[in-house]
Amino acid sequence: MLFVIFFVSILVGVITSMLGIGEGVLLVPFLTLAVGIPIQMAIATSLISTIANSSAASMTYVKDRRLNVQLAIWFALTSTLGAIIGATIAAQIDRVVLTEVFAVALFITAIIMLLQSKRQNLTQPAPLRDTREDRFQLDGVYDEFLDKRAIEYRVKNPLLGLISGFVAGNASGLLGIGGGIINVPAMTLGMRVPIKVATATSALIIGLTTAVGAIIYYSHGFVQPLLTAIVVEAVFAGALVGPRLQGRTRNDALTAIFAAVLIILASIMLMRP
Amino acid sequence: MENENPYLEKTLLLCAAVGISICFVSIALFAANPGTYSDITSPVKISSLDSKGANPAVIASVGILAMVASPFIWVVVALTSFIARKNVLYSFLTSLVLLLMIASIILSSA
Repeated sequence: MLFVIFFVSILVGVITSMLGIGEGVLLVPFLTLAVGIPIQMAIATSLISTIANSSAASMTYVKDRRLNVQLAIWFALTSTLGAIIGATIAAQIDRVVLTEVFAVALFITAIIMLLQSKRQNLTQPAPLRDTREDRFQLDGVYDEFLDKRAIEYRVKNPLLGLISGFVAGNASGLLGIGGGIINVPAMTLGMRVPIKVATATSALIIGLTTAVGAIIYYSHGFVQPLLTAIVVEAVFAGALVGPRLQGRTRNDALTAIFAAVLIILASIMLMRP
Repeated sequence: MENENPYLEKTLLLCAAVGISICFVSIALFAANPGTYSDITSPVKISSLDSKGANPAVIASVGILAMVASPFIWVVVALTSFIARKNVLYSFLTSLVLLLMIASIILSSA
């Protein structure tokens, strides 16, 4: 069984590091349903492995300039605040209704991403036409492997980043889902950030936001050290491969993969009793 | 192409290397002595484990703690980098992120 856990975790590491999402989406259902591990222990394992994923993926993304550190800080600011408020009000909210609303929103987002991708809006970064000053210093340049050239991009609607970060943090505190599935669509659809930069930046943000939850789970004794050590090693190995695959994937294909994951996740959320 | 964040890259590498290496040692010890701590499907209080000798579970917990603490170190390094570049806006925002991360731990564990 340990070998199965190890190899599945490698695969999870590859997929999640490519898409800039947390491990919980895939790892928690696997550990609870297939391995039979208690849910809190599975969440603790997935939180810690998300940090391993984040550090391995971010190393490559920083090197290739696909990670926008300022943008990550921008999102992390309200994301942390949102997580605190979400966790505080979680007891007073009907989480079943909220989960259903959220799942429908994910479906709609996935469809918009697919439609926009076909119209090339997501694959073409916002042009640097106007001379408006970059007040929040969020604009950047990234290295596109496929074309072997540096692509400049301008970040539109910076305030949307603060709102999205807050919603993502809140959802994480209320529903226990990672922020990547909210932050990436907000960056690509609302802020015109290229999908590769959005997923890379999200990889760092999820590391920052899950650190708090991981410490709490660790201090409460929900961590099984050897299981977590094995999963962490495997996810780390997978997350060294994911960013390299991401660099060699076409932007529209990456958007389609991300949208497919959103649809699967939304379906799981709607079907869960 | 020049990397604009060389210190962050090195920090990510260093933090990961520490956590991953310690976890790897624990797995190797566990593989060598499978009877040391074999029940991997139930949670365990680290403090209740026998730390005498090379208990792989205790060593793994140290590696995991190093991994969990690393995002705090990333933020500190990012903050130092912004301060060094005299970027007032992001020095301020990064300080706020660090404070919020610390505050959320205090609030959640209270």
